[in-house]
Amino acid sequence: MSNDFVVRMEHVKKTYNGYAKKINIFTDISFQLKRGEFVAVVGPTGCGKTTLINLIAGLDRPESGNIFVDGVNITKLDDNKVVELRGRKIGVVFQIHNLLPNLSVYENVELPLGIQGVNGEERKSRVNEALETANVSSYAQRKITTISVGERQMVAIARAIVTHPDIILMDEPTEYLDPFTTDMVLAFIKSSNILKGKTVLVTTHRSKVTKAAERVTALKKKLP
Amino acid sequence: MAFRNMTPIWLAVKDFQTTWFRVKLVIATIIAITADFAILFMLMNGWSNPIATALLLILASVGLSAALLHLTKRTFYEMGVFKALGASRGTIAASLFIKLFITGLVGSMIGVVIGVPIGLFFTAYISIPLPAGSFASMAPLEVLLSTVLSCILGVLVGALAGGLLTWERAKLHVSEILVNVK
Repeated sequence: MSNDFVVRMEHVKKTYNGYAKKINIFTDISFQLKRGEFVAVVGPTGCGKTTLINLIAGLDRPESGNIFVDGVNITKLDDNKVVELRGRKIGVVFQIHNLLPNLSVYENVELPLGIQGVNGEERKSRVNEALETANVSSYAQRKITTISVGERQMVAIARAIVTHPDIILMDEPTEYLDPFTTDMVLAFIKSSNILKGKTVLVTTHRSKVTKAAERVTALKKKLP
Repeated sequence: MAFRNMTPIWLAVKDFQTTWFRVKLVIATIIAITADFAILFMLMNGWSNPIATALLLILASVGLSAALLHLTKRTFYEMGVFKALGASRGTIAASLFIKLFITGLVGSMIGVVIGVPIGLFFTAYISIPLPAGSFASMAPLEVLLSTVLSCILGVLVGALAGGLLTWERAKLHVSEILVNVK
């Protein structure tokens, strides 16, 4: 059974420190992602969509509960092992992109491979493949500051897929995009060969995205 | 595998590129601090005046460290992105140490090149009674080496402090780093 699920969260609790008291984001959440499925997570602002992505990617730690990524309980791993696992297995597209503004499009996409120690020739071919797949190769040498928000989104996607991860997590990838670019991003997610067989989780507010997904999960905001 | 060991250097180069504007400002600050240090060091008769020299060394080290730590602080966001993309704590701290050391070294060496001739000019043309063992009685090479060694010491202290600070800060979860910066 565990082999079917590439991500499994069991009874996870997550709180944040507020000004006066602790804010419970999740008190007891369990969630699974099947290998190869495209899932959309919807819910109002503040319900924990970004936190869900952060927990699965090991960008944040829960107070209690277990999170299995490809059979490995990441809550039991030390920080360096989580970082290493994330680098190999997970690609994250952040809501605010987190691209480095003074680097070119090419250099931003190259970063995860350089960090993993992938050598020159292989690195070059994989970066070019990701750039072409995301349709951003025509402005590969331009700095991030000189391209549009929609183009940045595609660069962020290229950076997330360049390591050929099994799981791709996208945090509201269409949030700041116009309808045309939203369609472009969705078409890419649905039809790209590089995403075939990958597990894709997208958080969103947009009905267009939920219609494109194979499964939709809703998070509810807990009233204080 | 061999390339993997070079990752901190590769990352330091990328970090230089992405923070180049801030690096330039820090280099300019370090040049000013080091040039002042070199001039004052020579006017105070260098090693022959141990108390003044010790005070000056402390001040210069604090100045260089502060400039380098400022750069460390301003590299917080990049650190979060590197960690999010799979860089370990050790790699991040090592790359920052390399970046700070090179920044400090370049800045201080330019400062020495500017400061030593000015200091030599002052000590040569201002008739201060100089005791034996002061710069007046030292060969120019000795003067240069003393100043360079003092500066390298200051830079090393600053780079080590920055590396250790980064090592500590890289303990934070990526979400905390990126949320704190944005």
